[in-house]
Amino acid sequence: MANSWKSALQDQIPESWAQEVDTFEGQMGLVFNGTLEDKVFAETRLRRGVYGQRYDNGKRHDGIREQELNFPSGEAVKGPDTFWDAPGMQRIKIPWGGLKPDQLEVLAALADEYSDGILHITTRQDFQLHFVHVEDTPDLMRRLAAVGITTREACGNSVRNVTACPLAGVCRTEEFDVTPYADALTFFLLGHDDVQDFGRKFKIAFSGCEHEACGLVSMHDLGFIARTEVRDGRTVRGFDMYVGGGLGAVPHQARLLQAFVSEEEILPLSQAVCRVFARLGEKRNRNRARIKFLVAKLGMEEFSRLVFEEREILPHDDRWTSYLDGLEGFTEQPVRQPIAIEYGDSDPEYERWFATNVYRQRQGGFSVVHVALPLGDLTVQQSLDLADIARKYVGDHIRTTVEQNFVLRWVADQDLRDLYADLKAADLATAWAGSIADITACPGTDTCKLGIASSRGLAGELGARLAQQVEELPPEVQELKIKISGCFNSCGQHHVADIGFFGNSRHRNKRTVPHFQVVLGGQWQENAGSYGLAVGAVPSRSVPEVLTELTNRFHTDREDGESFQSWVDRFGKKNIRELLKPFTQIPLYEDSPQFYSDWGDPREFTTGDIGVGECAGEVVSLFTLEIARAEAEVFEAQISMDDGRHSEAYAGAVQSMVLAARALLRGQTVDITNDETEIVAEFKSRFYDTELFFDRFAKGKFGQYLFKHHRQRVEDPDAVAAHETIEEAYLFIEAAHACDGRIAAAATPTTGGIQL
Amino acid sequence: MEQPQRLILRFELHGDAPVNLDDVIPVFHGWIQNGRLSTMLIDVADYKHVEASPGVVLIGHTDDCGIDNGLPRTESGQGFHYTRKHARLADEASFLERLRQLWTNALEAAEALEQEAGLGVSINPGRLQLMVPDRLRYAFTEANVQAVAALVQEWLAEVFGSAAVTVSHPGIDERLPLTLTVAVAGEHSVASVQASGN
Repeated sequence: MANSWKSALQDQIPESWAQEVDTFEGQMGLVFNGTLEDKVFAETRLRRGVYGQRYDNGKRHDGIREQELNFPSGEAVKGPDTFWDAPGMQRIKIPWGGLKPDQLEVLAALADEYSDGILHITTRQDFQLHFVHVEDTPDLMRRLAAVGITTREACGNSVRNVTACPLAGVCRTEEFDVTPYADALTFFLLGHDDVQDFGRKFKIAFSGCEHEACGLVSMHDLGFIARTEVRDGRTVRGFDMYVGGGLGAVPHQARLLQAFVSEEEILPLSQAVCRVFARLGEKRNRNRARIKFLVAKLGMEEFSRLVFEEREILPHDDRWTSYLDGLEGFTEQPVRQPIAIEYGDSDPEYERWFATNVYRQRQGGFSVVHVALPLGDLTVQQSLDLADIARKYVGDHIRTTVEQNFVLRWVADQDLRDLYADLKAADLATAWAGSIADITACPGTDTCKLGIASSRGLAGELGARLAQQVEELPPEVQELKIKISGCFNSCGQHHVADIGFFGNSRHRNKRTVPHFQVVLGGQWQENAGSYGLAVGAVPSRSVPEVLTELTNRFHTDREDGESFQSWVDRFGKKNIRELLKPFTQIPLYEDSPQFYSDWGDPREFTTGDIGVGECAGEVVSLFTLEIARAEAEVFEAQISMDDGRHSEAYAGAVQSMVLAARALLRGQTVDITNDETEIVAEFKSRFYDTELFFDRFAKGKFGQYLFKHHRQRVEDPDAVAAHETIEEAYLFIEAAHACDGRIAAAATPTTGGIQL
Repeated sequence: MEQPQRLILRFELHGDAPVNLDDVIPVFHGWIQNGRLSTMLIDVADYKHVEASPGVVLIGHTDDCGIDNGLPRTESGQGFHYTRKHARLADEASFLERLRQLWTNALEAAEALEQEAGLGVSINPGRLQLMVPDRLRYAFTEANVQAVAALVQEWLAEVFGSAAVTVSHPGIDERLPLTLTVAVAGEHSVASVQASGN
């Protein structure tokens, strides 16, 4: 019997992959003997998908006080301020979501040997395991490598998982199957010299259709939409290539780099894009380091010129076209051929599932089945059951989706009832896939170091309520999409949902209250064709009522055939804000203490709270009064934006930042005029230079927004500039709230708290 | 026998009334606040939304515990599960010694849980499963089942004395961790087992 996974699997792992894991394991030893700097090891492990997790700095607020987590390895670290023994997250790349039963079985084994028995699917078709110890990761990687999975470049400043539509190859509206192209680019760029020096991560997606949601190309650093043209009487394949999209704190829509790039050219042109990004992209300020900022800075024309210039001087690489010889290898074969069967009556549950979870393939007699997972989670046993089910009905044709579900492709229609029964036995036959009840959420405060509010807690609560109601909801409400992020970074993709939420907080009544910003009108279709805009923050506990109010009003006010996005535009953000206003109220702690904790987490949300004084709820600080002006201003800017008045929208957004800066100054009883120059100077010296305004992770990024526009206004701003500035203003205001909260917490004695 | 990297005990609960997992979450947070257990506690993971899942889990550095929401593909009710991550301990203890330590720690947590009056949990230490999530050293094979079962008999004789102990398995599946199902004759409670000094 082998005494290690390394020896047990030595004949099953590609040599280069085995070498990589051995090297990584060796680097772990170097950290312990002090030869390798912790910050270097941190980037190294990130590029192997070994990620930090909440509380890994050895501190955790338990609801009463901050506790030190005294890990046995003492001061040993695996990165700056990251303790060696602290549990972490392992991200596992699944290119284009393609998964085989034997791979799923290994993933299941890893979940119960190294994690907590749960596999989690992410919004980039990856898997994540949580509470993993760094010392277990080399063996974990070897076991994955033995079934053809690498974790290389799953995190860090690298090319992340290349995503693609899960219906690619069986879709009724696609130009052609993009799978082999996504696969080719994945492995061409994996570990490539030209992608090792990025300032930030780089995300790529492939779409077969322009008008469906498909691969969500518009929100990607680099995106491909399939095209065909007839040349000399034959149909040739190519892609429209887009660049510079992204969500995050400042969302950008990708722009067309080149229409119809031939299949022979997509790899070299992608390489050229990467080289330009590596050479000219921001390196020092990570908040401006995504390629979207480079494209914005250079302008599309100049960026394109540089890319094509780079393309001209690229040394030839046979791999650019050699993959084309293997296209046929991606042709999928069904396990069974369809046969015509007359079925009798079936039960209503099956009919409901069939109506919501089954998609008719382009190939007659076959269907795609969506397996909906709550919050993207499944157990070890469910993973094994799904592997068995796949083998029985579809063979290797499993894919993960960016909506945190699975699809099973090539199900012969006569098997659908038996498949349903098998899924049901495995608790995997939840209906309403892709509906309002099938909510997407990032990990948020459950495990993410950046999470502000509990995205999973909220998603779980909304999901449980909607599961009870969805059958009775009107069809136009059933088909809405809800997506939730724990912070402004948009890992839950809230910008592209009909109704999105992202976590933030407000300081009220001497306590910090978890909130969610409501983001409405994002477009999922058209490859994430447009992004929603924030309409106001509401307490976390009020979100279910807000959702009810919004959907009820949409239903009653909607015109025939009107989409939610169109309704939001027509109804107007001003009216929506009025609609939300009653839900923004925060009761006194004594009356409703639950408002001061988050969904699924009974710990009091704030730090450093003390028993509440009399009438605390009625005390309104100068800051609160002043910041309300800033919020009103940015809201008006949104209205101007909606009306196409871009200059006014831009001016209002900048003014709202000035007002928010003034609010902070007034909150500290600084005598200040309304002169912008004076406000900016005072803000800079009192809040920015002192770093009081700094976000823990974003540092001074949000303050820079104000300085930038104060130094030089954008002349004749277009829609893109106005939209971006509004987003920046929202973030600046959020940062002002956070700053005020920190100042208040520091000024409040930390002698007590509420016992759970 | 080689040392397993990880061991899990799962006890059945007495009674039919289900434990509300929403109520377990604040209890576990309270345990972290108060240092209720002798092992290092870190966080609470909530998987109650997944059927037949670990439910609500108190995550520790060397030990996890929780109340699940039933076993998959069975009529089993909820259970109390306790995991000891020996890979984190770097000790030289034998398999048998690891079983003893697992038992001691699991009973400590079980007792603490029963003392949470609001939960109404009653744990049956005489009905349990032992899982060995270590496919390298203890693949779920007939040979390994026989070897581990013999060890379990020896260990439980120390705990339950002359009470008859039945050890079986739920069906070999090499993809799963080696799993043994144990039934001890007679009525047992956490208090009675602890009172017996074992």
